[in-house]
Amino acid sequence: MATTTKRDAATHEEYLELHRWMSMAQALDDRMHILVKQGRAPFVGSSRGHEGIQVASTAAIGPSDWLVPHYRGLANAIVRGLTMKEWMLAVFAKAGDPLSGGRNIPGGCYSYHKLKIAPVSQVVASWIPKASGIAYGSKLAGDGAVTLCTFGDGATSQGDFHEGVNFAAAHKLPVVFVCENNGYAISVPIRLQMSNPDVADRARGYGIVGVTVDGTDVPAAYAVCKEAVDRARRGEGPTLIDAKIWRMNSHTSEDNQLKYRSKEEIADAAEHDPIERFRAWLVERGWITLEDAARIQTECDQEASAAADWAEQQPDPVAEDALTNLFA
Amino acid sequence: MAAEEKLYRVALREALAEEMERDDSVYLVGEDIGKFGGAYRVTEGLLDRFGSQRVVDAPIAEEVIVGSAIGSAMLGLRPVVELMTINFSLVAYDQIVNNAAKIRYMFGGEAKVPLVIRMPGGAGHQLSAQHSHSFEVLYGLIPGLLVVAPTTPEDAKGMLKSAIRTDNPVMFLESMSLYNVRGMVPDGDYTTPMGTAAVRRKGSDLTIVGVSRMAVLANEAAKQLEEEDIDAEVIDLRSIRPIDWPPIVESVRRTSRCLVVEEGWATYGVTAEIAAGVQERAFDYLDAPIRRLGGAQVPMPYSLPLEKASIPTSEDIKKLAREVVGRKPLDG
Repeated sequence: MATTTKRDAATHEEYLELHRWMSMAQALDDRMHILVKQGRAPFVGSSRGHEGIQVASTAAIGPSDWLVPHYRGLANAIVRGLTMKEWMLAVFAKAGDPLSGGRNIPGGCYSYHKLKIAPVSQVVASWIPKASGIAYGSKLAGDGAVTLCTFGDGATSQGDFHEGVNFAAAHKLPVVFVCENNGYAISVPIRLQMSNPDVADRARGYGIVGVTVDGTDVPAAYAVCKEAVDRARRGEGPTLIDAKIWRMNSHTSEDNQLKYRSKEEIADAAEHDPIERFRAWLVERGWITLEDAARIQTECDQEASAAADWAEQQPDPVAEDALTNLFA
Repeated sequence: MAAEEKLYRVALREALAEEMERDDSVYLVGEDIGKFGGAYRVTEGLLDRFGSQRVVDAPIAEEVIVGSAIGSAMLGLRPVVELMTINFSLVAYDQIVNNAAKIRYMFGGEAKVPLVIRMPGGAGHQLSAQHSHSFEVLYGLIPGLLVVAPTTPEDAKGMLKSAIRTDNPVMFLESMSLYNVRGMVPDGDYTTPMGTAAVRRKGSDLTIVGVSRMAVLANEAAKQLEEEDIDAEVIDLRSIRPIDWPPIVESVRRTSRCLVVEEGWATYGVTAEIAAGVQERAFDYLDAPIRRLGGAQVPMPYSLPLEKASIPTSEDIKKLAREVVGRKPLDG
């Protein structure tokens, strides 16, 4: 595995924090798959393979900035401060679920006003114009906040992508667009989605900066995202980042990727696990030992398991509440 | 209160300007609303007064016009979107229905979406099939939206102010044919409550409920019916969602007869909803079937005679009203 990064945009401690967040994301993802297999949870949309770019991009923004994620953004939520218990309350759609109060599909669709996470939409790309609007609001208010907007390669075929990015470019809005390019729109490979698989090339058409980065290379991705956030904060407009990654699981627990991906291809994706790669990089630097990394993962797995068991026992929403929350 | 006669479009403009003056978080976004002053000149002069950050000339991109407004509204701003016509709102229908209307509910009551989407509908200007629609029903059926269709300059101003001050998404349906209508507008700051119908004329023989511009035509028809000794009560529905049932039901219980009129297609239309609701609430009081009148069930044709034949007229309203009260047709 290549560990090619030359630049260090983060400190030793910050990198270890990123590593812990990735371990937490993996633990929650694995636990959700177990819950689905056990018949305890109905559904999971996996974020495996995306954790590197997700922690890199989200760590690059601050607490007063906004996150507008897509529905495969488990690690983004963790970086913003979502706890495992909170996540599991949503998975089991409990009354105390802080993400939607049991209204939204779990395992990826979330929002958290307190943490400045805007609502994830299930209609692909429809959150991109919203991100531009949030950034417009920041510009109008002059509050200095930057909006991070994430999506997959599939979203870039939608008109909403074009409209959202174009508007942000025309108004030089403080927004960073990150395409987590895993090469698949559910089952449709990128060659059937677009002629040029390098999404960042489109930035030139919009008159903004475009950057391609290996999204499994955490230090490199973090450096690129930090630069983009700084650019946005300086009032120099949006950046379109194309982060190349590999989707390690099926689209969701509702589909079987063997129907459209070969075993060889899936095995190759497993070789591009951003967590493994980042661990190797930290070990190489002498900042963590393999034993330490394993211990952290075990701790996270245990916390995820305990959070699930706890959340499952919490009260369900009451039927009378079905009509609440419609209007402010 | 003192009042002055003003155009419907001027009343709207005053509402926008006064709310922008009153509240810095109000801004406008839409196509050609800046230097051009809006396709129907509602925003004329506002760019000079409030600057390009608050009067945003947007690209021709309805999804981002509405989508960005939703985003900024979640942040606490109060965007007022102008869509050039209700026809183009179909391009942004996903943003309106799947996002604006649902965000608060789907995310546990966290976010507010204080968004107003203004747009003219209706026909009668030879703009043909893709620029002549009455889509009240498309928004009237969506929980999470407030939908109003004011028909007088007074209501246009008062309801737009209410809409801007509401913390929920409002579909503000104007009518192309009403922009040049004059009417008395009270001086000073006032609001007209959302969610209310208005009784435009008291009467005892039948109740005519009109939707948007058809409420104006119903009023004209009712005046003419006086000469035939038919005393019609006219209710301007004004709020498409929620429906203000009490004045409608009270009226029908008194007149025992009801006619409902809309400019759009009546099948599955607003008139269908009103008719169903009235019979649920006043069945025992009815002396005749509730009748409905809507536009011809074709895409709106361009040719003037064809277009005229496709839109309800006050003559059409009078004819049905006679039937509802049991009069023989005038021509025997």
